Formats: sequence, structure tokens, C-alpha cells
Amino acid sequence: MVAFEGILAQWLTYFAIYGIMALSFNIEYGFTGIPNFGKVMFVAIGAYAAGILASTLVLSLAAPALGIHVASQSGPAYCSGAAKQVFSGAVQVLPTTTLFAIFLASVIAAAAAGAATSIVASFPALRLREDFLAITLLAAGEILRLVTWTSVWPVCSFNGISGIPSPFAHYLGRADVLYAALAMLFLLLAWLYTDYATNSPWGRALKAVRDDDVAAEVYGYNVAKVRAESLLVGSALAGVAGALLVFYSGNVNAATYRPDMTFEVIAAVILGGAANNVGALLGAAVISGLLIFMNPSSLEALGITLPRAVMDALPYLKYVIIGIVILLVLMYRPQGLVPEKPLKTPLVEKTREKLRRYLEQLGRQGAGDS
Amino acid sequence: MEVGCMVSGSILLYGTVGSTLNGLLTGSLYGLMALGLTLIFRVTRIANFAYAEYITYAGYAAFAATAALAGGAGGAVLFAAGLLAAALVGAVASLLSDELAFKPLWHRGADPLTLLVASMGVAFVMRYSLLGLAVSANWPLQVQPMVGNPVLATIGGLSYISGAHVAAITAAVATAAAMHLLFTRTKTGKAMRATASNPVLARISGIDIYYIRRLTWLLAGAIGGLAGFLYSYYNPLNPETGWQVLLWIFAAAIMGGFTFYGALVSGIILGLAESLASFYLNTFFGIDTAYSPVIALIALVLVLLFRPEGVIRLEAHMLRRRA
Repeated sequence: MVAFEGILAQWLTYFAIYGIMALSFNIEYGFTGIPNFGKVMFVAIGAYAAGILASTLVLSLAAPALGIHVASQSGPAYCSGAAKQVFSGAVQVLPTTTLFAIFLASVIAAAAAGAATSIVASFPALRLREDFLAITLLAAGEILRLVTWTSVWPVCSFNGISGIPSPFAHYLGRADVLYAALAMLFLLLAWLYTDYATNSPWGRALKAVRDDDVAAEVYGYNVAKVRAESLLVGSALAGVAGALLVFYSGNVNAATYRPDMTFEVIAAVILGGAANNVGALLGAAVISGLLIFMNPSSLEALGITLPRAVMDALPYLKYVIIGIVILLVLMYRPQGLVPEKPLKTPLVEKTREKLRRYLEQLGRQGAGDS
Repeated sequence: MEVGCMVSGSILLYGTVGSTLNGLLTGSLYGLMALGLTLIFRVTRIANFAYAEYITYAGYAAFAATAALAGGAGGAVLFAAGLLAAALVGAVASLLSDELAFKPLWHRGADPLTLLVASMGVAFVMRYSLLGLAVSANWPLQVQPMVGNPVLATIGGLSYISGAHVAAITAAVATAAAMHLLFTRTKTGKAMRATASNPVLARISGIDIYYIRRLTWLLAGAIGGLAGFLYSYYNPLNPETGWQVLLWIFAAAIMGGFTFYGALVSGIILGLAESLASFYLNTFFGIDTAYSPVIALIALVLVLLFRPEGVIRLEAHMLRRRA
């Protein structure tokens, strides 16, 4: 039972993180038509920003209390061996309120860093055809991964930063469930915001730009600005997802941010239905479920045993399934499980209301006549 | 002091020669790989991410074929068997991926981006099923065809020219020339160009566009297979090799503006830039050679940003005497 709870918490946390990524990809791809195939780059930027800020704060707050002197000859202080000792001892000297403050500050920093980086992406987004734009952003993400994997700045090359304390480090027994709840809270906020934003005049501007940018320009929309704003919001959300991933796993490592993560998000949005926030969330739930449950350790914890050969292949099999899902959806249900809905606008609702009242009046008159 | 200078001078000289040879080898391999991608893009307009997997599958096929024959057969037979198996498997993988995924989508009127996403799906299925099979069936995770790579000449005891150098450069130049001639001088090439620019009109004019499409995919896959064999002839190949070189292939193809000679020249430039720049940056500035892959990626991004139509476009009219 405890094992099941743990796996459920793991799934909910992943669902929240992939859900935020899917919402962010949906704003860019589904609503604005920008194929941001460098999604993982913005997630990584957010994760790096959160990891650096959190580890710096933990070092400066906990090192004096623990009496550990942290110094480094080359590279950032948080990469040194002494820093690792501080991270592991930090929970004893820092109260939950401090840990929580560090968490919140890091999430905000991640959102800001993601948003700032989006300016880089908005430059090619104006100039390139869709498929070439996708390749450009993908390559940019790979450049970031390769450089951060090799360079000691910003995240300690291939060692990464590890041992960043979770905000619930004091509740050892149920830290995973509490963190899952916190992540779901972030997902709820992200969903409310995205749904509100995409059903506003701004959301209509995004769709206008997606469907026909020349027409949108004729109607007075600043296409460049709309695209840049869409990328800004999407990248800030991606940064938040990156920060949530950092505090969940406790470490930042360039190896995590492979292009596969982008494809998982693309699969979620295509499966759920582009330009539909509920669809994106549904897709994220399915994909994160695949990622969590198709793991030898999860199956063992649930008491399911499969032949050794299948168990060994499981971590790869889930990607085969994701690939097949992408292909089947593109062929047989390109609109996704939950298709795009017509715009919810006050105008339509008011017109419908007027029409209803008019018909009622007509009916009453008809009744009076007879 | 003088001796020290001489030593460092000769290291520099031999390092330069070695990096140039290496760059020529990897560069012509990138160029050769880019030819198949270019062919697919020119005829079907698909930016095909699954192309990398044809290369990987072909490398594994070459390994399997040579391993089955090893012991009884001579070097030349093994070389031919590996090459044939690789080209065949590459061609079949390529054709199957079109028949099962891209053609049905094309019939439904999919746009370039949808086809690109679909090719990523195909790439995922191919790459991870190979990885899963290799892990669960205990296949080797790194393979190399069991053909010796003979050293043909040694320069200064440090750099050498091997059979792989000769084979890769010859194959790349010959394939580029053959593709160019096919496209510009033959009826089939004309039919391919017609199919690319307007399938409906091509069909009305009596061109069997499905035959042309199948031929395109078979040829492109065979080129990928050839490249996969030559790559693994020199470097061990693993199930992710294709993906690891895919962005280089795209860089060469896009830099070449999706022309055959352009792709070859761009591939060689990228290969040379990668090996020479990493050698010099490492020697003079102590910069880690692990950064060398970044050079091709930065080239790709810069080309896409500033010259998306390609940098080196060597088309027929530029090469012919009369304009």
C-alpha cells in the first residue's frame, strides 16, 4: 500500500511537471503555431537558474551554522566537495519556512530566466519556415546541453549539483506525497492562468496569428509582438516546470535535459489535442503515466513480475510506445483526443443569450396569438 | 630551448596533418549521409529525422553479415558482404518507413511540420526498439563490422591514412556525382524533380509518381546504409549513433541548400572545421575537445538564422560552362 502511494505520488508529481510543460508547449504550438522543439532548453534554463539560486542560498545560510568553510579554487563554490557536506547537513540547521522560501525564490528565478531566454527564440521564430524553425530550436537545445555537460559553469559539468534540499525535507515519511500536492497546486495555477489567458482577447490574437499571420497583420495585430509574448509566457512556464523537477529530484544534471524530453511533451500535446488546455493535460497524464509505470522498479513495487527480457527492455519500450502513439494519432485522429473548441468569447455568449430571449419572445407571442 | 621549439613545432605540424585527415574522413561521411537526406527532402519535402536510424540499422546489419561470414571468407568478400547488407537494410528500412508512415500521412495532406513530427515518431520507434532488443537479447551495444581497416600510409609516425579514409572520400565524391548526374541528366531524375515540384501535374504527364517515390526512398536509404557501413568501418557504432550525427547531417544538408555537391562540400567543411578547430583551440587555449560537436551545431543555427536558403548551392547551372 505504501509502495502504491509512493508510485502514485511519483506519477502525480510527473503529471504536474509534464502538465505544465504541455500547457506551455500548447500556448506556443497549439495556439500560436510556433513549433518550439527546443522546449527542453527552456526547462533546462529554469532548472539551472533554480539549482544555482537554491544551492547558493543554502550554502550562504547553512555553511556558517554548520561551521563548514566552503571555498573553491576553480569553478562555482556549490560544486566543491565541502558544498556537498553543507547540502546534506542543511536540513538540520534550516527550518521548513526557510527551505520553503528558498523554494519559492528559486521557482520565481526559474520563471524569470526562462522568460528572458525566450528573447533568443523569438528571433528565429519570426524568420523561419515552421520545420526549419523546429530544427533550429532543437539544435539550440543541444548546444546548451553539450556546453553545460562539459563546462564547470554553470552547473558543475557532468557531475551536476546534487542534494538540493526539498521544501519538505523535514517531513521525511511523507515528503513525496506533500511534494506531489505542491506540484499539483502549481499545475492548477498554471492551468487556470493558461485557460484564462488563451480565452482572452490575447488568446484570440494568438489564434489569429497562427491561422493567417498576414490577415492578422491586416487587422492590426503586431505579429512579431504576439509571437514574442507567446514564447515569453511559454518559456516562463517551462522554467517553472524545470524548477519543480529540480526540487523533486534534488539534483540538476545536464544529462536530464535530452531532446527526448521535448518529444515526450510534443507527444502529450499531439495526443491530447493541440490548442486545447484540457487535452494537453490529458496527454500529459497519459505520457507521465507511461514514463512512471513502465519502469522495472515501479512494477516490482506494485508486485508485478514480467520475464527478465521484457523487464530489461521496458525503459526503451516506453519510447517505442510513445513513437507509435505519435504516429497513430497523426494518422487517425490528427485533432487529438480532445479537439480544439470554438472560442469562448463574451460576444458569442451575449449573442446566444439575445437569440434565446428573442426566440422565447417569439414563442410567447405565438402562444398569445393562438 | 631550440629542441623544445622543434618538438612543439612538429607536434603542431603532425597534429594539423592528422586533424586534416580525420576531418576529411568524418566530413566526407557527413557529406555522404547528407546526400540521402537531401534526396528525400528534394523529392518529398520531408525533413526526415528517421533518416539517422537507417544509418544505425545498416551498421548493425553490416556487423551481423560480417560476423556470420567471418572466419571462412577473405577480407574483400567480407567488405563486399558488409557493404551489401548495409545498403540493403538501409534501403528496406527507408522504404518501409515511407510506406507505413509518411505516404499515408502525405495522402491525408499533412503539412511539412506534421511530417517532421511523424519522422521523429518513426525515429523513436526504430531507435528504441533496437536499443530494447539489444539490451534484452544481450546483443553487443557497440558494433563494428569484422573487416580489418588496413593502414595504407603513415605520416611522421603519428598520422596515418587508412582504408576507411580512401573508402569514405571515394564513396562520398562518387555518390555526389552520381546523384547530381541522375538528377540533371536522366529521365528518372527529371521525373523526380517533376514529382517534387507538382505531383498532380507529374501524374497527369504520365509519370508513375509512386514508382518515383519508392525509388527515391530506396536510393536514399541505400546511401544512408553505405554511409552507416563506412562509419562503422572506422568508428564503433551504437544504437544511438544515428541520432548523435543527425544534426550534423542536417547541418551539411541545409548549408548545402539541399543540393548534392553543396551537401558534400558542406559536410567536408564541417568535418574539417570540427577537427581542426578543436585541435587548435585545445593546443593554444586549452579548451576541452569535448566542445567540438558544438561547432557544427552553431554552424547549423547560424546558417538557419542568416542564410536559410543555404550557403553553398552548387547547382547544375553554376557548374556548367554556359550559363
